[in-house]
Amino acid sequence: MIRRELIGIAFRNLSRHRVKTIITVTGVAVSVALYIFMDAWLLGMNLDSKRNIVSYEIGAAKIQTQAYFEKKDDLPMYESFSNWKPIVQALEEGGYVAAPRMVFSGTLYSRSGSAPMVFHGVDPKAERKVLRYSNYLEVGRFPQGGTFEMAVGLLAAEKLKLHIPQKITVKELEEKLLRMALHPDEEAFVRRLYEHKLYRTSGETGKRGEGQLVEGVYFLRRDVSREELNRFWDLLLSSGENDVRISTVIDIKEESGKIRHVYQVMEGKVVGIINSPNPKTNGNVAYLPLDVLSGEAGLLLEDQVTEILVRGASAKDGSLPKPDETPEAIVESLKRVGYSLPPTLRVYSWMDYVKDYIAASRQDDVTTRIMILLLFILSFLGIANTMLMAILERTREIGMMRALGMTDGELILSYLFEAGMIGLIGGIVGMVLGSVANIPMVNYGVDYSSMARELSGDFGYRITALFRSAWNPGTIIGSGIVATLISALLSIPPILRALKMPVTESLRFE
Amino acid sequence: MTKGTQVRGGLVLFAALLVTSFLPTPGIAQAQDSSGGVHPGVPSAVELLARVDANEVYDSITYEGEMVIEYQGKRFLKVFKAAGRGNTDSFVEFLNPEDRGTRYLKKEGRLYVYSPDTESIMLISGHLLKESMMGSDLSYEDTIDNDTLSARYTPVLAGSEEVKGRRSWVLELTARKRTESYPKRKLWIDAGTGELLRMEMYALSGAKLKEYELIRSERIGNRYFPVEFVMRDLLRKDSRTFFRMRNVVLDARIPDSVFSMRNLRK
Amino acid sequence: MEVMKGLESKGSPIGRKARGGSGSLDLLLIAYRNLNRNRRRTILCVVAVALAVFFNIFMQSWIEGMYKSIEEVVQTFETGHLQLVSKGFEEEKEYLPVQFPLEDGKAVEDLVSRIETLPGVKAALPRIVTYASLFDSVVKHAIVWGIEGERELSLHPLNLTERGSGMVEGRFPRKGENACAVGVGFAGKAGIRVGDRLPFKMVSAQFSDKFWNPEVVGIFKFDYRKYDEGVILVPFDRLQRILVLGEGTQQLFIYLEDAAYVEEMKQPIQALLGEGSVIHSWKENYWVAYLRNSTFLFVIIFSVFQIVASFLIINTIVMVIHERIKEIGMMGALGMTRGEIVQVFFFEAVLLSVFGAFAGSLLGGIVTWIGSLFPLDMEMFTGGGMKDFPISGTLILTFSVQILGKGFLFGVVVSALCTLFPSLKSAFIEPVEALRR
Repeated sequence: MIRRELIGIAFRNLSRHRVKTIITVTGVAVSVALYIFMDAWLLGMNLDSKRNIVSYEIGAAKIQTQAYFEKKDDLPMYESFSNWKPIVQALEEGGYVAAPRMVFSGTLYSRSGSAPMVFHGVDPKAERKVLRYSNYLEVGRFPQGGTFEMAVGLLAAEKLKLHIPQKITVKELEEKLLRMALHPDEEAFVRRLYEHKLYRTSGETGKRGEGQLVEGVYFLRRDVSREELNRFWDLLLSSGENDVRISTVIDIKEESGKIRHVYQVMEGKVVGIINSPNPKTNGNVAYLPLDVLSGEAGLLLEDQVTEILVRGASAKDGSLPKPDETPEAIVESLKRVGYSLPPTLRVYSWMDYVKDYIAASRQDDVTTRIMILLLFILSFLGIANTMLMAILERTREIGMMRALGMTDGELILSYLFEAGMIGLIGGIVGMVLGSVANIPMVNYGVDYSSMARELSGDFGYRITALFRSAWNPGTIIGSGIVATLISALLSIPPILRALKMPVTESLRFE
Repeated sequence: MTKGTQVRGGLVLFAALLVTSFLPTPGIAQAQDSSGGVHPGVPSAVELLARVDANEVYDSITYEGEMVIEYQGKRFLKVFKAAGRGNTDSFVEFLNPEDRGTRYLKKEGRLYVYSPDTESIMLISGHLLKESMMGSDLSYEDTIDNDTLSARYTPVLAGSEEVKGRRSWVLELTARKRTESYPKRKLWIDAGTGELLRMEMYALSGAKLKEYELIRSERIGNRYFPVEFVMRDLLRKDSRTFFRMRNVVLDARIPDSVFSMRNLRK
Repeated sequence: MEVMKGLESKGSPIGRKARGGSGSLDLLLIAYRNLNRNRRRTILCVVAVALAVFFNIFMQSWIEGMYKSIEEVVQTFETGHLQLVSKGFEEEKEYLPVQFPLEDGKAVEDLVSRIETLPGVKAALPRIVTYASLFDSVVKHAIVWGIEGERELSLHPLNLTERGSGMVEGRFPRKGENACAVGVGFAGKAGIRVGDRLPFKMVSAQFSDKFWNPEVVGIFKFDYRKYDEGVILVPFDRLQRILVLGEGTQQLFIYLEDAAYVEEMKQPIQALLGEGSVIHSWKENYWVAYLRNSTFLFVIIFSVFQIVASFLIINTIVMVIHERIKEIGMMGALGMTRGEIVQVFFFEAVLLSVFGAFAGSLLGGIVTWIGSLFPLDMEMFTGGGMKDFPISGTLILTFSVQILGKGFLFGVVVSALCTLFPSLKSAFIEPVEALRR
């Protein structure tokens, strides 16, 4: 018999046992789809923290002076460089987005206290192009250029009482309202945002009746709308509640190499609170416009910055930097547009800043791989199981075929085809299902912060949590192929077993 | 000015160092003052500042010091004995119970500390020199070199005012170099005695950072030496520091043994 | 037909019914025999359920172990069960100030003895944590950690992995001794060995600079990166003296008989103290909250695993039923009612589930038991970059009967539920039609 006829038989068998075929195909498809989905999820998890670093903290690369890089833990602002505009321009011509920054440390003073902070002088527009933390404002807005406005991390804002309090004691609220000296209507509006209630401190497991009743506390109403929050925030801003002072020491390197310190105090206003998925942006950090730092009211920078962040112009948020975003590629592309970096400047990969982390996460891959392997075993055990059963019960049929004069080779081949076909169809359906399920997971992700909050109860910490899967084409195609192969191969042992059986016996096989 | 230039840094290292940064007063002023009733007219700003600086010119100093730190409703008292010679040698010993036995010696450009807790001598060097002393805004390094106000600032006479009933000239100082710690200062100088009555230090942006106020000065030889004053750090809430100096002796001979390692260990 | 063999040997179910016998036990027996009849299929099914249960157990134990690890690190190093500090400290805590002693510097022994008399309190331990500037130019800053070493160790281990003192070289500094111990990471970076002097500067309770150079008498590895890399451990009383805290302390760590009852204990402890004190429980720690939130991710992974595993079970059972439709006809023809047929299939599946779940629990129990004895290197899980993350460098899987029980129950319930639908379906097939298939 020629092969085509064997394929024909395989097809006919498939349609003849339609129900069984459907069950088996479904089994394979679901296994493949879930495997693809989970692999994308685990890969996403593995990439997540790296993506957080790239998307919210560093970008794909940084341009800094070598001297700065070597002392980067001390934030040596005196190792800055000037004349950055041509570099940014050349980068943009070369297909990148770039954001200049001046990073310095200092103390932020609010009405209620002070906190040590790391300040980032940024170009708000450029910053938005390269990094994404500005999309995660808990309340308020990102600072505008030309002003001493700043956005601070949530934890710092809470410590310095620069936020909209979730709960506030009666005394504190009255004091705040007194300070704010609002119009009676506005004051009434603010009071409406809060409800006075007795509450129980969370007991062991949050069970009813545990903990103690606490009095004299206002809680922000649960149903407060975004608009109301914004209005309250604007009132806070206009009444000066969010006025702050930055105290810092400007380090200036003299020609002799000696570092001099100049005291500086800047008056500003906190206009936004950041709560992004990267905890580093939510801690003791502040972002303020770079341009106001240039003069005597700022840091005497003139044209100095400590770093330029670089990211590919077309880079997707969900993916890690591509080969065209490596330091080498960036330098190369600068050359192409006719710009060469001054000798003191270097391009450093984002990985250079998180070396410890990278070294460790290489091992992290091991964990992910083990998990995937386990899932793989589980999924394909499903396929194996269904295939094995499908073939086993056909022992009698095999006997019949042999009785009708088919050779062993032809039989094996026809069953291989049949089983492979099931695997192929199931695999393709699974690939499609898995990929379809992946699309929203990769593009939008799951914002599980509210869910997480519900699950874990109110810990007093608001944690932003967005999770995204990642595409893994290798797995998607590979799992289809593997499903086909496994299905086909798994049909061999039962066939061989059936072939070993005398025809008469296999006809009687139950 | 043979030996005694810039005693300031060498002096006392710690508390007194804060003092010497603004060590004021006259010398030249006395002549005019003692001539009695003569109105000197309007002096030049440079001259006024030179008067303030001139006070810092002495060969040696010994005194007993007291510092009271008031911070958030708490008071901390520190008592110490200090001796300084030229710009090179100084010795400080703490006497208050909490810090008793802690001694600092500056000699030949090196800074040593003796800690009674460990009974050992340590050399302060490297990055530690950059650390602030006792939470002040002066680093150990700052104690090693420091120039006169005249050398560092350009003064402008900004009029005259009454300070606690004393007529005084107001000087506005602008740093000569952009690397000066306090880019601007404002000084109130007693028109009669030339004492520095008040001083304000400003950040680059013009925000006021610190205030110095004279409480009492003592006439030592022909100087009006500030022996009691108060400093305020305006960024810190409820924080001020009082300084008091007793038994100040200027320009006396101090034996070498005071500035010796043996004295440090004692 | 073999099914019938089973039936014959027990006598006809119809006959039984007529006599009013319940028959359920018989049906169970029939189901059991059916399992034996097709051993290969049974094995496949059992393996599927067992694997599902195993994963359930393993992942629960993993997550639990991670929880425990972080909670224990927080409880040991960061907050105790309850942490007592003054309001002044609380406001400036980033700077670890020693100028705001607890209860305005009241004698710590007095505080301790008062708190320790409270029922439910195991111990109250004073600690001082402050920053130090080192003379060394490589490692410039460190945290000085003054603890009552002997009492701490008698209460809990400091190396949570090996559950010991964590000393890898030398010994703990003794009470009052002019000595310290440093972490392995710290020692490595600064090139310090046992016997060296380690000079540094601190700021005292009166804002005076205090210089100290204790002898390094020990090198520890607590398996908690933050401490191994940046902490100088010194005797509490010596540090108290040098920082001139008098009899007072900066913080008091309270350990309870049961860490869960922190909220209940806050009130009576607060009652012993003045207005100026703040109590924190370990549950308020940011990272404890953070981990609890991230657990959501693991819950999802966990559920997908369960879905895959459950699907394995469903698929197997659907196959089993489909393939046995003919038998349904036969059973019907022999007079079994629909209910009985469903029961036979259902019992069969339940037996499979129970065997599978049992096998899975056994395997899971063995693996997690081994995992609870041999810690896994967690560096590969947390990433060494998370220096601030209070988790020890290794993970110990949690071995608990509760987890095993939950896993077993999960297996049985899920499989039984998965089986219900196809079993019910079996009842709707007309026996006559089934025979024709």
